[in-house]
Amino acid sequence: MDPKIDLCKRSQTGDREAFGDLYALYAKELYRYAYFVLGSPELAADAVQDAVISAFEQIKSLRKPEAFKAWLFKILSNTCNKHIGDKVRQRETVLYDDGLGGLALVEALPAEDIMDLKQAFTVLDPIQRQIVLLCVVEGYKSREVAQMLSSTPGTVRSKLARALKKMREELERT
Amino acid sequence: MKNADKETEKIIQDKMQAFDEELPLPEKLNRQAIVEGLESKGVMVKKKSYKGAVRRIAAAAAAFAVVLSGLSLYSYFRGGEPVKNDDSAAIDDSNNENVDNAKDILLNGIVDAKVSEKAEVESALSEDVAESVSSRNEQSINTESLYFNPAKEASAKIGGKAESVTAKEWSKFFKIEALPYSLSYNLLYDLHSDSRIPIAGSVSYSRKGNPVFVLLSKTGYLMDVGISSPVYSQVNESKVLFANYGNTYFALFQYEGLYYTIEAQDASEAEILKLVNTLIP
Repeated sequence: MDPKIDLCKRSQTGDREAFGDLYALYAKELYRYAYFVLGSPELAADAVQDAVISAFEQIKSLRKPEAFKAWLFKILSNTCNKHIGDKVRQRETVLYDDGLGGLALVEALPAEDIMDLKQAFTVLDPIQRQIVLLCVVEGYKSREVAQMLSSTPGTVRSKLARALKKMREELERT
Repeated sequence: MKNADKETEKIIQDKMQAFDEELPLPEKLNRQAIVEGLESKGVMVKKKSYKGAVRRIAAAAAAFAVVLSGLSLYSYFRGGEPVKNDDSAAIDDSNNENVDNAKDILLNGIVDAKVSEKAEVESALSEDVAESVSSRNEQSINTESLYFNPAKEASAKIGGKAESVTAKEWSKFFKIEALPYSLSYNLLYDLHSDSRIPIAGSVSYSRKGNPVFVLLSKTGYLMDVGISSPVYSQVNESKVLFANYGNTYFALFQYEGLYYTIEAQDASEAEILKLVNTLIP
């Protein structure tokens, strides 16, 4: 049996250590996803933590253990949307510039490539960011991403094309 | 996919690799911290509960019994005669007439022609206008871009009265024919208008669970396109519902009791919201 499936099944019985091992396999990918969607390391860490707790609580409802990763990303995506909503509600002033209510990518990492990438993501809205990350970085197909984001494959493809165009222009500009 | 898109994807992937090497995982996200967090907070795997299902079945049975007894009593006091639906023919005639006159009504009332003119929309989207309102945007627009199911929630989001209708009733207004595997058809009516012309409609597929949302166009016909996953936002006091189909964006919003529609090509959600903000004082 695939060790991941075994870990997932053990997690479904309430085994926290097994769930921890399973989480560790995807921790970096989850954090990276939340980081670029939310644009802040602190918010990203909170979102991943919330999503992981929620996933552990709900893992019994997961019918296909082999789909654990996609299921976890779906939970994280919902959590990120909730964080964005909360952030918007807390503020009266919302800036359009980065589509995140003025949330900036606050901390600075030295590498030039990373700065370019962060800048390129700021021109996208949160949904476009999620689509780019899931399709381009995580390698999911538009059909799978549509299921995760409660959308349709056609919408995902059109949003992806538009997002890539925006990012290309931004990367060329920088 | 275009070659340019592929190249962009490659660039993103390469840069992301550099990012992975540079970015450390925060301490609170270490495996051990997560496991300890689950233990200290006492997080448990939720068991499947059957109580809710039993309660729902009981409630449905009770409701059915109440309806049945109500119908029996009604029939008894009416002398056992079947109740005729005298309004059905009138409603059919009214609907046909309403569709014929939709253009006039829309141009005069529900839809502001000035708003709907594409040329003006495009000009309003020009940089000058965008710049002139940018300072106001920063203070007055509250976006809550959360996806939702329009078939169930459109009325709660933008007002109006949603009615669940049959596929046949729905097809009177929409050029899209009744879709296979559909569970529910909904029409959204203006609360402040006596007309029985819906301002929007939605349908949910049962097979894929993908909702389709359609807006009434300025020509009086409902757009024969499927628009999925509309987004709800708020601009000042007005709630805005918008969605895209390909490169065309549609928005529906209510201001002082009237509904307005906007259609714009190659505009982003942010640009549409900026435009709405220019139209609402």
